[in-house]
Amino acid sequence: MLIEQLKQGDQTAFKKIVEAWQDLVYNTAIGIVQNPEDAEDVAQEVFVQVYESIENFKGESKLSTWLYRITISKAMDHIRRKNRKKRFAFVKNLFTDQNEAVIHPPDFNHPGIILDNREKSAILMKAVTELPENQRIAFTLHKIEGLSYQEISEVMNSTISSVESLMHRARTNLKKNLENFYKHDQ
Amino acid sequence: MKQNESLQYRVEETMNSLDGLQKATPGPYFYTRLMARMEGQEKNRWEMITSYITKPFVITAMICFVLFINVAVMFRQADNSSDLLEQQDVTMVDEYQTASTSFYDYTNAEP
Repeated sequence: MLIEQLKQGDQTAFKKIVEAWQDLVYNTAIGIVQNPEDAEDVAQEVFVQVYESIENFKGESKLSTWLYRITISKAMDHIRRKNRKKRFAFVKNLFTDQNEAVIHPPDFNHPGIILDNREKSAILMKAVTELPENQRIAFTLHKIEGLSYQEISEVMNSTISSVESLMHRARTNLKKNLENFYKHDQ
Repeated sequence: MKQNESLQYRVEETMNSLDGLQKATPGPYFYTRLMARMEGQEKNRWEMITSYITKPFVITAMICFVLFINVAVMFRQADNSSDLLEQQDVTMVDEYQTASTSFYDYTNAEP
């Protein structure tokens, strides 16, 4: 109903959609980009795209699935853009005399983390950034958004068994990374 | 052995540190900020379009394009008008049957 109204350009319908889904979009975005300001930016980009391309939404999948897909795509684009900038800055530093300090982002603490787990979760989230793209997405959707494997498979357009496999590999890689981290830490 | 166990314990603890996580929410007035951004984008789009259109090379290219179209239309019309004149001649000949002026054409129409 709201979708139909939005397709006809109804601003009130758009407002209702934003208010209903902003938490889902923001929480997913912050899980992937791991920075509150960037997550806000991504969430805004998602809703701009929803507004501009609502005509393309045929209702074949759930609205939430469509929103998850757009959010993931925008968040991954954001990360790629950021990495490109970092690489460019690094190369620029090599060829110029200016020694600009390379800024490392601070450890990310998800706002919804229990206080006791803050330190450990920051270490885990850092390890998540080193996972391959698909494993990172599956892990974030499962752990941060609390989606089931069935729901993740719908979002990622794959089968449940491939999501299980992705999650298994993600866990194995994370454990390896964490072991290395703690070995060096000791 | 004990050190390895301790390491594994720390890893497991870290792996489970996201349990009980609450969902993050954007700050208040998210919709207002979103609308401000969308309006800003709209303005930027128009600014971009106008600044692009008013660039000298775009204006020159547009003038050249209009002139080219004019010349092309002129040549086409000139061609068409000569075709039209020929066609008018043929129509006149058919209309008044000026081509069959011979008396014998009428008298010897049938064998």
